[in-house]
Amino acid sequence: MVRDASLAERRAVALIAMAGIVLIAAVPAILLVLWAIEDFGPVAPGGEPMLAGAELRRVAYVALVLVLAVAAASGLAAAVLVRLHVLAWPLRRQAVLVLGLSLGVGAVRAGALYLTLPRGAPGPFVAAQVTLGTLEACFAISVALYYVGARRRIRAEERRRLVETQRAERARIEAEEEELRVRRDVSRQLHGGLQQRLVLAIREVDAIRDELEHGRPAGAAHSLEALSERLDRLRESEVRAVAHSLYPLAGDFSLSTALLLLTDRLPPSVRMDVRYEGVADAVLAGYSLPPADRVLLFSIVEEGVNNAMLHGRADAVSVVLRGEPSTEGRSTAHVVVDDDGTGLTGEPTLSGVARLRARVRGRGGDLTLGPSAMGGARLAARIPVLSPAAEAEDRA
Amino acid sequence: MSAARPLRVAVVEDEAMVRGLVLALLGAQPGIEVVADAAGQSEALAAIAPGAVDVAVLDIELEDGNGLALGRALQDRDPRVRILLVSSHNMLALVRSISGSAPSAWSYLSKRSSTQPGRLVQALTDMAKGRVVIDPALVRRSVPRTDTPLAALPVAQFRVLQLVAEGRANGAVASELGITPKAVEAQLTVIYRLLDLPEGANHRVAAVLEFLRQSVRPDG
Repeated sequence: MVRDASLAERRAVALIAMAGIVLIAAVPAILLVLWAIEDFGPVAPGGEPMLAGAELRRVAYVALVLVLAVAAASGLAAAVLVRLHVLAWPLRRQAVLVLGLSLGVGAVRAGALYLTLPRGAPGPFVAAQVTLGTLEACFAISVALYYVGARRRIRAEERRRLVETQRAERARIEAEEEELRVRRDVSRQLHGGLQQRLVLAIREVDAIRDELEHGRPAGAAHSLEALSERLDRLRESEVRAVAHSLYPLAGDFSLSTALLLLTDRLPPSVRMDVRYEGVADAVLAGYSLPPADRVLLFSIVEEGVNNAMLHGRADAVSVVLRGEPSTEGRSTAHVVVDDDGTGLTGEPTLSGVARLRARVRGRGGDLTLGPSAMGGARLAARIPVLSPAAEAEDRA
Repeated sequence: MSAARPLRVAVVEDEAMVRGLVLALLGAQPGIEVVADAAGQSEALAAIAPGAVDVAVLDIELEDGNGLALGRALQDRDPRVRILLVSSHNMLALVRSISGSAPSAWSYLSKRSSTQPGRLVQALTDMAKGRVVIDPALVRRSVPRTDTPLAALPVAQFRVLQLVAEGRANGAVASELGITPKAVEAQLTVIYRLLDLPEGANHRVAAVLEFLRQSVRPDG
């Protein structure tokens, strides 16, 4: 709908502008006719100027005034339609420059003709020459400027594409490295944690069998109870860790739900506040974000919270998620994790943060770690995310 | 609820083995009738007619969708249906967040408890009486958050609240703690006041939700 309207408007502007140009081009033609009538006008055989000459001159003057009036009106109409105030300043400056230069060229050209002619040229002739010269210069300069502008736009487009390609390439490498890291982690968890505990569980089963063989059912029952408890812990913590390495929590649930689950596992002394700002509540917190974006945002919060507790020994963590709608269904998600811990000591070499930064940059975003107003560290990130355009527009 | 009519239960669980286990142990139970079972969300929505089920036992991880969305959809169609959420990992925070806006607070069992005949049947019976049931193992692992009214609760009252959160009736709480039901009632009045519960709410349910909100269940 909106696009159709702007297309119709653009067509109208083009039509009016073309009419204006034709009309302005008519000005020097009429002026030349006037000059011809005044100087070499039709003369009666007796030497007296014919009456028709005077009438023709009047007609030419009326035509000139009419053409100028219509040209001015169409110029005004075009300006209103284009809405000159929306034109950027450099573009307006360019228009003034072109017009000024062209007027100068037209004046110089008329002056030169005036001087080279054997006798002083009449007003209409000079005016016609100024107008013609201005139009010619206007055309030539505009074509030159358009050419230069087009070249610049093409170069800018090529540069943008190159940057885009490089970023896509970087993102692909990051993704491959990330996948390899996750595989290594899962493999280590399976080998290190799970396997060892299963070996121990098998030994316990053997011990219980021995107890039963030696007629000690009470001891066996006790051992079985303990084993059952241990297996349940194994299932709850180790298996969950492996499962979440493979597919993070935020992939299955909305961001707000995943953050809620994270809050429930913190030590009791740590207070975590989560705030949503802007369109964050509907778009960021809801299901409308693609899983990859949800997972990345969740990973950033998780990293910030873990660092606050492990390195900063923080008591309070504040998480703020803010969404900024922008054009064509792309939004920017801001996430800030503040804590009141001991903050950063020296140059932090946190591999987790470095890994996250690489992931965020691969998506065209940015991630910084610095001091927080709360006294501890601040992990802040900005990520372009895909969001349903309608939702972003509704709230914009 | 008439004593003659059995409790009508629906079971939604994607793991065929676990579903079979739950169906078998509920099938052997007098007073409980499994009227529908399904592996996924869309299958469940087709199988569970509004008004046909008293309690829906929902696994969080499903073939399609998840138990949260399914529970919401079921309560949208029939606000009287009670939801028992089941998960292999601690997802208690979800129950707390949903229960605030649901027609009736949701109950929660770990998958381990849900496959133990006693625990599951007890939970369903308690739920049928309008109580909220939270997995006893998770309730016992709960630690109050620092600087909350719950953290200021005396040990005896904290223990009473834990048992209420497990879905026990006053009589059961009393016999567990070796005190009189009257004493339990008195304790609860104090607990409701100390927790600063919202006016006009069902205090028993509100106290359980506050218990969940003001506590955490750290790993390990």
